[in-house]
Amino acid sequence: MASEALDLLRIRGRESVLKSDYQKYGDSPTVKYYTKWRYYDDYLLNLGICNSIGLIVKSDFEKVGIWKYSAHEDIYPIGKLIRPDESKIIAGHYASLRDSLVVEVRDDSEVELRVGDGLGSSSIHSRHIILVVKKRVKADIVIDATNYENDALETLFVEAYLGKKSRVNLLVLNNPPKETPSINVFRFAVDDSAKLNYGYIGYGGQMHHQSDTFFLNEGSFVRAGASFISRRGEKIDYISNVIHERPNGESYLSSQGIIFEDGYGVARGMAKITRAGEWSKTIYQAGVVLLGEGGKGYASPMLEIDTGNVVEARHEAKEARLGEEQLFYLMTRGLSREEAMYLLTYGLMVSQVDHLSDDLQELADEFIKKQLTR
Amino acid sequence: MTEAVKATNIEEILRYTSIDELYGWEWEYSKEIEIRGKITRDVIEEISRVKKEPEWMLRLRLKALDLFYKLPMPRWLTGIEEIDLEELASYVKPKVERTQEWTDLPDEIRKAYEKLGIPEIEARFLSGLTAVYGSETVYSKMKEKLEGLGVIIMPMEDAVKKYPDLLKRYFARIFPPSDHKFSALHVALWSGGAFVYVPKGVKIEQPIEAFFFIGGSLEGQFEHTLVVADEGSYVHFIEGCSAPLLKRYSFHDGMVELYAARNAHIKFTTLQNWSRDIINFNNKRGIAKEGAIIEWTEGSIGSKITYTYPSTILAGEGAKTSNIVIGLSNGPYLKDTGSKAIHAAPNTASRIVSKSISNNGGINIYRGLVRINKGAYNSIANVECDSLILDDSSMAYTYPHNQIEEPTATVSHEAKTGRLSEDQLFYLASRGLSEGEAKSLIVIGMLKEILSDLPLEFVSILNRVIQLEFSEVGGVG
Repeated sequence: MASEALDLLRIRGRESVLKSDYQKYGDSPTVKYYTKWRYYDDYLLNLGICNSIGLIVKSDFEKVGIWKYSAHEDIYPIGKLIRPDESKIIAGHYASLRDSLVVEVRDDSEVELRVGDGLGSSSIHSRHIILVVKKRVKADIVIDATNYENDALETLFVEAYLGKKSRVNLLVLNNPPKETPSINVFRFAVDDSAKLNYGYIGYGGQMHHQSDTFFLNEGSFVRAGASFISRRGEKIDYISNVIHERPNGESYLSSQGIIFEDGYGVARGMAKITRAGEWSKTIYQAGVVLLGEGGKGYASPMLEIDTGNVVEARHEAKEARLGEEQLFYLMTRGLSREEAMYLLTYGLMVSQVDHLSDDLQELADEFIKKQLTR
Repeated sequence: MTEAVKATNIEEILRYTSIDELYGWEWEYSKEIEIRGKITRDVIEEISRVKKEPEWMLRLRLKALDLFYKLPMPRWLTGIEEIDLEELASYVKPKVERTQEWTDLPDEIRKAYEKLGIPEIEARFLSGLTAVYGSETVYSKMKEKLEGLGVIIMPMEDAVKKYPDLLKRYFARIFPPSDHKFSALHVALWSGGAFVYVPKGVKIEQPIEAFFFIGGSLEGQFEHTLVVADEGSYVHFIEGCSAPLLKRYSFHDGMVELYAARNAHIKFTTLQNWSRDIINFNNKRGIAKEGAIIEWTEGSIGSKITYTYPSTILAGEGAKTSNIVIGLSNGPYLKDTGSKAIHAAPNTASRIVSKSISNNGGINIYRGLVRINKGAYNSIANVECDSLILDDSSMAYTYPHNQIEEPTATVSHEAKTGRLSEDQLFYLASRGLSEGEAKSLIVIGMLKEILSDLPLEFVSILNRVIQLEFSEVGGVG
């Protein structure tokens, strides 16, 4: 189905691919870009349009409305939370996008969104979700991004609107492609007094860039926990941001990277309290653990506080190695070093999602165990 | 002696009711040379000619000039666009011969130092002093007893001629001009500053000071300090800077290089109290070899904008560094400060403490980097950032980076940003303190890590400066 808005987005995307940079500023004096953008270059040269939407939904369709954006493009906006001119890679996503899926959660329910195939020979496989949770609705949502095809630059963008007083548990399981680069950009507009419990369990890819951003309205609440593992040759740059745009919000963001062998992982992001977001509270943690020689782990928890009227604002980066004392303790109980390491790693990952609903914790647990024994 | 120069002792300084009152507006001083306009090869050659420099230094300057034009403007800086280098004087030589006697200096130059009691402090507490006015060192003196120990404290221009081999090893090597546009500009235009060499095993008990003064609007100051501490030696270097109220802005782009050889110990303290018209860019880096210690302490109080990120490369096993940066932004001013510790050897340790106070629309930014290279076994780094925002219109930003490539390293970082608690203010109010007095007391409390290392007279002056920042009718105590 033709869509004027999508056509316009694709045009803007194509223009911006040529004009924009991957990012405006370097990341640090010694590591210019934490995401190795050179992996993405070739995929942005000859852009095509995907054959399909590339997403599968499971839910109770009486409570959840599902449609292609092009079918009813006047109901919700696309490209508002994630604008096509923000960067070269975001522009590339829009330039290749066939259509977006709109998921409207109207009543208390469970939703599973799964990455599917069939996107064709485009050099970028663009998947896009507009997720809307209506006010006062309770929802458990899983985004399962574990099934990539490994022959294109894979992108998954989510523009989420959580209505007033909604209660949302959202778990992302991510296993990015190992032979192609990938990028996920998730943005959440959390309306007044809404509550979001967010969990991310991910792995490194050839080069995976994950960016989760939460915009908080008055009295809203976000607890976001993320953990990722990067093994031999894998790379992941995990970013989480929270912006308090209105007063009395509360946010707790925590990310934990675990780097095996010569893996590469970054845990970073920013907590910002704007002047209009006074009397908010934000606590931000970011940490990486190196297990083995040759790994690289970077942590950068940033704070931007625009007013003295805050309840609390702090951040910390955790220690870089698993405690030798903890390992020793477990080994004195008869565990081998490997078993003890497994247990501690498992513990670190599970602790990042223990605020989610029981069902989602169970899913996360299963995924973590599967990946740790990989 | 004129009236203007008379008010010199520390008790009198402490009687002033505002910082501006101490210096007032900029005053005229005689200049022998002033070079203004586009910075070209001719300008560099002229500066080098005036200084009668050896050829190698001119080559270094010209190479840096090339780099300056090739390197991009650092994109992380805000406010730097206010600087128009073509309207600035890149070199200002006051009409005065360098001396070792304060009485030789003309009144209009001497008062810049006497109003802050520098001669008195020198006589009582310092091992040596270098005073820079505009682009040139106007006063330089070392206490006689140090000469016998082989200590060198001299203006940088003299050291370039007298110790070329030593200078070639370190000058612009610790902080190369290729690092960024403003380090290149500095090396191309450097003028004034001090060279200090401390021989093996010599421990200098009293600190050495360099004091930098910018006397007029639209002046650029590019002084260079190099401290080389040989094996097992110790030195404490204090730098201070100030300026009167200016009709326009001026620009300071200084550089400090520290080299601590095996088991040497260098303390470097900065008391930056520029007037509100100075844009202040600092390039500070040290290298610590095996078992050496470098301690940076930075009190960043004045200026319109300050960019400073003292850094240490821990290049030898067991080297240590501590870096304490304190920024005060009271009014619509920006402090963009931070610190870097690069662990490039095993068993090294770093500690970074950043404290900032933002008030009346002030902005404090902390940018930090801790990097642990592969092979820097069992290194430890600890970073603490503590930001205080005293009202609803001021800001504090914290941008730390911890980069770890060694699995046996331990790195921790924590930061908090907050306001003065009502409990603290109520407690102090109940003891009879006004809000301004209470704020100044709390700020002085935050500064204690700087103050504890300084001679008492410095502490008195610094306390007074802080009190004046928060109270028009005088401070506490």
